[in-house]
Amino acid sequence: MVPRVQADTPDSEAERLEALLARARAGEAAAFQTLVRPQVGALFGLAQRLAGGRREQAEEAVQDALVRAWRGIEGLEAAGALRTWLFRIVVRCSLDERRRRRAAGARSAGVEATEVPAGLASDPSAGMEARELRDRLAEAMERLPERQRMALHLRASEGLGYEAIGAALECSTGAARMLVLEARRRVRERLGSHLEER
Amino acid sequence: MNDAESHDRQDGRGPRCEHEDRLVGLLVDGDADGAAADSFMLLDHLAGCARCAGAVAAARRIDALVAETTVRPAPAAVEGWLAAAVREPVAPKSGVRAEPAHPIVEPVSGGAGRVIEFGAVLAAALCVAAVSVWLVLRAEDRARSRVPGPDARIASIGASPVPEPEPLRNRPAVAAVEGVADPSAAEVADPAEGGAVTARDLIVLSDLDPELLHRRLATRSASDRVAREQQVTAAALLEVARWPEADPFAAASTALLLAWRPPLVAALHGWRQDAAVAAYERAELSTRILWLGGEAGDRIAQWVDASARGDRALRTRLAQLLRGEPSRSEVAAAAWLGGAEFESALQHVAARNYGARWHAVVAATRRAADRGERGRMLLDLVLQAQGRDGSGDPARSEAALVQQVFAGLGGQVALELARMLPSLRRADERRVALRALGEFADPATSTVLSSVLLGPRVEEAELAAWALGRIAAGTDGLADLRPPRRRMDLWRAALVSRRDPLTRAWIDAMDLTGPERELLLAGDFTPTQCGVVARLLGGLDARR
Repeated sequence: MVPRVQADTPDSEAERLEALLARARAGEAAAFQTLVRPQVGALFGLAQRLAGGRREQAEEAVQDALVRAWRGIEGLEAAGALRTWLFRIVVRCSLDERRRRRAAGARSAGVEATEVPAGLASDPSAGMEARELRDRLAEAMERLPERQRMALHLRASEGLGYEAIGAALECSTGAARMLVLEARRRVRERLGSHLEER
Repeated sequence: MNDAESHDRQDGRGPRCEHEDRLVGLLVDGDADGAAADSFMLLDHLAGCARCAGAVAAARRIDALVAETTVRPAPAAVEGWLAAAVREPVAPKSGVRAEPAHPIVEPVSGGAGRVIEFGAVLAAALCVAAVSVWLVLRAEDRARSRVPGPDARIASIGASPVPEPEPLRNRPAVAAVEGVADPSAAEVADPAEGGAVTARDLIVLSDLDPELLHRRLATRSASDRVAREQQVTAAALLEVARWPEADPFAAASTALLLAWRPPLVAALHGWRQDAAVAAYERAELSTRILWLGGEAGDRIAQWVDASARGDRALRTRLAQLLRGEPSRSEVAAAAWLGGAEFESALQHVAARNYGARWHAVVAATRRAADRGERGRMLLDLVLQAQGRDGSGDPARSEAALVQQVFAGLGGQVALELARMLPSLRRADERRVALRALGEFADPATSTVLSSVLLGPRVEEAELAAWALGRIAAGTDGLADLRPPRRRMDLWRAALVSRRDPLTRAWIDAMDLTGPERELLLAGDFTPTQCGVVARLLGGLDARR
């Protein structure tokens, strides 16, 4: 008889993550990497959004966030909270970075370029309308207050609920809800008729 | 429900329906913040309220767009960041394992120079596009005399069959670059697909659509397909850069492109270095070279420095950048160049507490370890970073920093530090130098270490004994020396640490507890252990 491979149940997955967290807390780098690896893409997406599409700035924020996470892994109480904990660190790193850059002045003002998402721009058939919509969305997101932009991104791109968004942004669930709704409203205003499905 | 609201505008600027938010929350975010009955009433309202229906549809569309435009990193980048994160030494976790302490409290990076780098990318893309236009025009002149070939095509760009190209005039054969006899056989391995970019691919580049090329280059997509196309482009630009009539415009494009995509360029084997330096020299790119970021910028700075006559313009530009908000690559380039530029970079990372840049400076300085004066520079880096790791343990911090900065080096740096040691005036400088010499364990430093062991300062003598103890037994004649009267115990401790055969008789003759004997037999002491062992050995003569 062929032995059956038991699929991971939610409990066993949670136990696996807790075990990884314990090993990471004990200083095992590989465990930390295994634990965090699945989240890095989302962290980068958020950092990129916060950086207004500036890839290099986002990379720096993610790198710094990972360093801080590794150094502060003992502060994470449960593996279940890992995702929002990491988002919180990325938010702080990104905002720190932005504040520092503002303080440093605009040495390179005017030469920053916005990252073009590969899915849109690498397609030669992407039409003018799609490009215009993309540009308007980028502009609308850029003009949002930072917390609204983060909240909308976490909701739309990462699928976080209001409670998790609140945890990531260090605010109440109600405040997170208002941030998401207000962000959508403002984006909708700016996109206007471009938002209609074609 | 009040459906009498005015819903005459659908763009969000008109009067709002009071149920919009709850409906969007319910239907888009799955947030049922009321009773089920209330939810049913809301849904009932939705059926008759165009405003709410529009809001829900818009919210869904916005979410989809936001998700669609979210950029994800390439897996390789993720692995790189993770590796870098755990490479950062940290304080011991839960007392389980002692990790080296982190040197800087607040590792922050992301200077505006990166922004300039990005500008360089766009500039490169524009240059490339323009070069392509030029190539198209050039090709059109030639096309009149061409005979269409059966199968000539760009390998991976998917262009339709194009005429067989005639040999291009005024350019060296590809073989001259690749060092092979047949230009058509010159190829660049494509790790992604196992294929190759051939010289033929290069020649028909002129049939590329410039707009398409521009867009692809601007995208910086990490997909294999696009990377392969860019590889073709890079190879072609390298070729173009060598044509006399392309100078300096194409050369500038080439250098920027080369710097832009190190992994891509790495696939181009031996072409990259000479072409980049040649392009630099021909196009006088010294003021642009520092736009380039990361590894590429650092590498090109090295080439420039190594090949291009100690460029004054480069140093001037670098000095300007260092006064502002230099990027990591800029401080790395400065560290590589050394001298006043290094001093500026060091001041910058120290003043701003920039962990990432500190690491960049360390890495660049280490890479240039054979250039002289790097020992002093690395020593300064350790001294600048000390006390910033928040560990509260200066000794551990110092040891960890020294290990981080000096481990794996040796040779010239070891000799430089050994020469420098007697003239160092500050105690912390001497201590760091001794720790570094201990890391090197170079027999050539044994004489200097022995003199410190016999010197007036006890703490430094213990460190010197530890450093001597790390040198392999029998490599420096330490055991053959006549036992010194002064600090004989430390001298013996160094030999015991080495597990020199001479010391076995001493251990056997001593009245030791089990753990003490175990410690002495194990050898390879830490500085603290070295002091303890010396005190144990102090009773040796009396026992004998």
